[in-house]
Amino acid sequence: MITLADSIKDFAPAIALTKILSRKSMKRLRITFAVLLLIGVGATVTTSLLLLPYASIVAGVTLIVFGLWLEQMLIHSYHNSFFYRGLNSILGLQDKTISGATYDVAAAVLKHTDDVTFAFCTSPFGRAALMRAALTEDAVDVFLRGPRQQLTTAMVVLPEKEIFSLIGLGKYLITHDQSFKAMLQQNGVSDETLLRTLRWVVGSYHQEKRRERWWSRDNLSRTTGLGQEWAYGTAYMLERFARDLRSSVVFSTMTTDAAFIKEKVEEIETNLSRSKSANVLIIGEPGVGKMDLVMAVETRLLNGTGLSAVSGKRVVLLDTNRLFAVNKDKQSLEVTLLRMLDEAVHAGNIIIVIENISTFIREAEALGVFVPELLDQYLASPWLHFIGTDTPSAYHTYLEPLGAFARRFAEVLIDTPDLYATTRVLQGIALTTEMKQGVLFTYPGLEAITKAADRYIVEGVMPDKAIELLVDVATKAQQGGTVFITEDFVYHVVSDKTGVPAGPIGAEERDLLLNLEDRLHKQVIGQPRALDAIARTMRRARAGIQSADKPIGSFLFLGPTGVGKTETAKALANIFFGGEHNLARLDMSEFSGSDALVRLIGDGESSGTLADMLREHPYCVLLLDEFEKAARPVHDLFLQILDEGNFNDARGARVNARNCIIIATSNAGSQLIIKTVAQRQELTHLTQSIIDNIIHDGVFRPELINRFDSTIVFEPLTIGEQSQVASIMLGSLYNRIKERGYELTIGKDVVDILVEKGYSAEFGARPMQRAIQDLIEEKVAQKIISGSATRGSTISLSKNDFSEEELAVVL
Amino acid sequence: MVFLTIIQHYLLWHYTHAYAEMFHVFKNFLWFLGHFFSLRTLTLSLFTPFKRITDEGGRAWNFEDFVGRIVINLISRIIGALLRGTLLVIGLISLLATTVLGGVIYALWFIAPVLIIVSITTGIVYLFI
Repeated sequence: MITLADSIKDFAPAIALTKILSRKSMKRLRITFAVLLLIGVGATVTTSLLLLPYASIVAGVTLIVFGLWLEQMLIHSYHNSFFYRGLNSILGLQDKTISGATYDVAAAVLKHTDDVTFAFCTSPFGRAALMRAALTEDAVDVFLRGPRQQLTTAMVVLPEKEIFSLIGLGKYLITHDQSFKAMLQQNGVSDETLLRTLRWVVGSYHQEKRRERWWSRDNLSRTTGLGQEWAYGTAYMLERFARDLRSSVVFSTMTTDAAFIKEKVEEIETNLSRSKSANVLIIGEPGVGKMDLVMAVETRLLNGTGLSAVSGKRVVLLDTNRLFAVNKDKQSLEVTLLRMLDEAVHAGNIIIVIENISTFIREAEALGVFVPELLDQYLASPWLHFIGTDTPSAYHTYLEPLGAFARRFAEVLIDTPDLYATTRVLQGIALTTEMKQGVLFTYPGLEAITKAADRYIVEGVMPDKAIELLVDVATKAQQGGTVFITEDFVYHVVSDKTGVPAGPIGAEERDLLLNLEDRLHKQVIGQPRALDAIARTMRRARAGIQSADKPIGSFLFLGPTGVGKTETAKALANIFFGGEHNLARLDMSEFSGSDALVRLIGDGESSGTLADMLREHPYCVLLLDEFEKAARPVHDLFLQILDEGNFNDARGARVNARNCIIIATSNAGSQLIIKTVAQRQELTHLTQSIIDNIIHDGVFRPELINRFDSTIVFEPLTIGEQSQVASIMLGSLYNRIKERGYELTIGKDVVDILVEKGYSAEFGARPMQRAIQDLIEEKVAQKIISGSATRGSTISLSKNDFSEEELAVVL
Repeated sequence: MVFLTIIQHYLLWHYTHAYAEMFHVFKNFLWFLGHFFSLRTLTLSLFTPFKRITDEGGRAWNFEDFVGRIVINLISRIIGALLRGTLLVIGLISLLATTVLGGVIYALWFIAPVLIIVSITTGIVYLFI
């Protein structure tokens, strides 16, 4: 059992040395003495040859300088031995077990051996990690000054088969120092966040240290072998149509030691080592880094670190654009391709990379060249290998049907990286962006960028869109003078960019959500129970309790016509998306035929209505009127949309519906609702029986109804609510008449007639508009035309102004 | 006191750990030379035609073509062997030089602490001759 106290003992003198002479000073002295020594040797030789009288003095000085230089070199080696301990090469030493503390752990805890937590929190790396985990200095100071558990170095037992770096120390403190853990919790920093932050901060420092150590096998292997090329032939024709691999790489920060790419690189190498048909097809969405993988393979081949079966191979990217530009007809293309491939086989070490192989095949097909047949013998050859890349949809549409051709390739699938992998990619980019823009990212800020890019940015794929968002956020921070990029700041930028409230709820939004019922009531008459249910669901959704993989909210509105279902949808569009222009409406009765699904998602040539709508308005209320009339395949499509928040259009492109509120309206069950209300029964208790009735009638399947966040039943309007509707409608009429230069007053007796005539149980408040048109607007028009009303005068209408016949019209 | 501790610790390191670490770095350099000069590949392909340039010949057999082909292929192999052989020799010399240098450094390392004292003292003596 080795304790931290035992392990750091050996580092103490080396660390004490840096107090006398820092590593920077050592470097300066070393260089100075080396230069002086060179001058001294030159001077000694010259003065001795010329037999100058002060030759012995020059020789003496040179000897002293040599002594000092040698002393510095030895000190340097001595310090390096401890400084790099534990950071063994990745190459060649995999099997060696290394354990014990690293230099940085020792440097941190040697100052306070009786309080490891204090030592960690006050060390440069500990401070940086805590700050990047979004802990304020004040919070840490308060914690350190307060009463807490104290761990000495003798109490910390080191793992036996693992190196104990600052990451290990952080992990140890989280599990063994309860007060430290409590402090993290109080400040909203999870254990996972601190550990991941430490991995970021310390990991990038370790990488830098590894780079500095030029004598390690990892660094020495970066040069290409001299004699490699002489053993193989040259593919002259291929060279003419080759392009630099780097031109297609998406993000160069993804290095080979990232576990996520390493596994795939090895998979590719293994497939390339097969005795025949050793070709690989890399399948992944655009932007996931397919060419980065190819480059990682190339790097390993150049370094000589790949599998021995593929060592010495050369990766060449075929420039298909130039190939087609130069060879414009069938014969010329065929001749060029055959010559190129024959040469490549003869060269014996070529791996041809074809980007988007299905596009290449189709372009060649346009010239009458059937590439799969032409390539077949070469694909089978042990002397030539191919790496093709393509998207999953192109693979399924074009390559899979080719059968034998597709079987010549081993498939390597690249999934879109998960959120943690994306954050890891961002870590490297964040550090370079920080240097350029003068900002500082916190780890929760980076996580927020990943989550927000995944959730709110509709266009593009990960990690591309996360990287773009990171750059956007950094630019916004720089413009606004913000240095510290936190989670809140990221969500603030995302909200500004998309118009959708994202991240923690602000004061204004909190107010809106808490008073959502009131806001909805201002626009919608009646329906207190329905509006309350909607408000509750929306609050749940915004509080983040709901899954992020679903639309913001989804509702099924049931009830008779004209009771405020559409009005509620408009109100939600107003409140959450800033206006009714963000209400995307589909009349589902138009999608009841056999071509319904094709019209919604497209057919490969033309795009679909729903796909277009969601691409144009990714942040909207999607209103599906008369949903029950849609065809069954359309219902099935919405089963998926409500469940996963996205769907694939006919071209295989992903359409995102996660930033929408989906509202489906239906008249189904309205007769039962009207009957229930007429019988003065309490509707609340009958919601379930209405739903049961709908399911029983086969209008909707139970699984579809269950996918909605809430099924809301709208009741027929009461007399009081009808008069409110009448007032709102008349209000807009008053305004129109006022604009023409007249005033209008309408007596209560007329309003009563409107309420009475303008409402039916079947059509709700719909007939009201017609009643106002036929009765009021008609009468006002008569008065204006007859000249009985002049500009500036007030038109007053009471029941007496209408004849029996006129009133009968409305009946 | 600290200074003495450092010196004592240093000397212990100098005559124990340092040797193992130097050996490790020395092995890295030998590996690097092998990789840099591609010694394995060059040895395995020593007599193959240079850049795989060969004359494949036509379909019909013809004595003149046959002899010509043999000559061309032979020349290609000779050129290949010469060039590769040269590089191989340079590589092997480098390996040998590194090995010798390694031995010298090992020996010098042993006397290095003394060498510092000797050179500085001698230097001072020279100043006053």
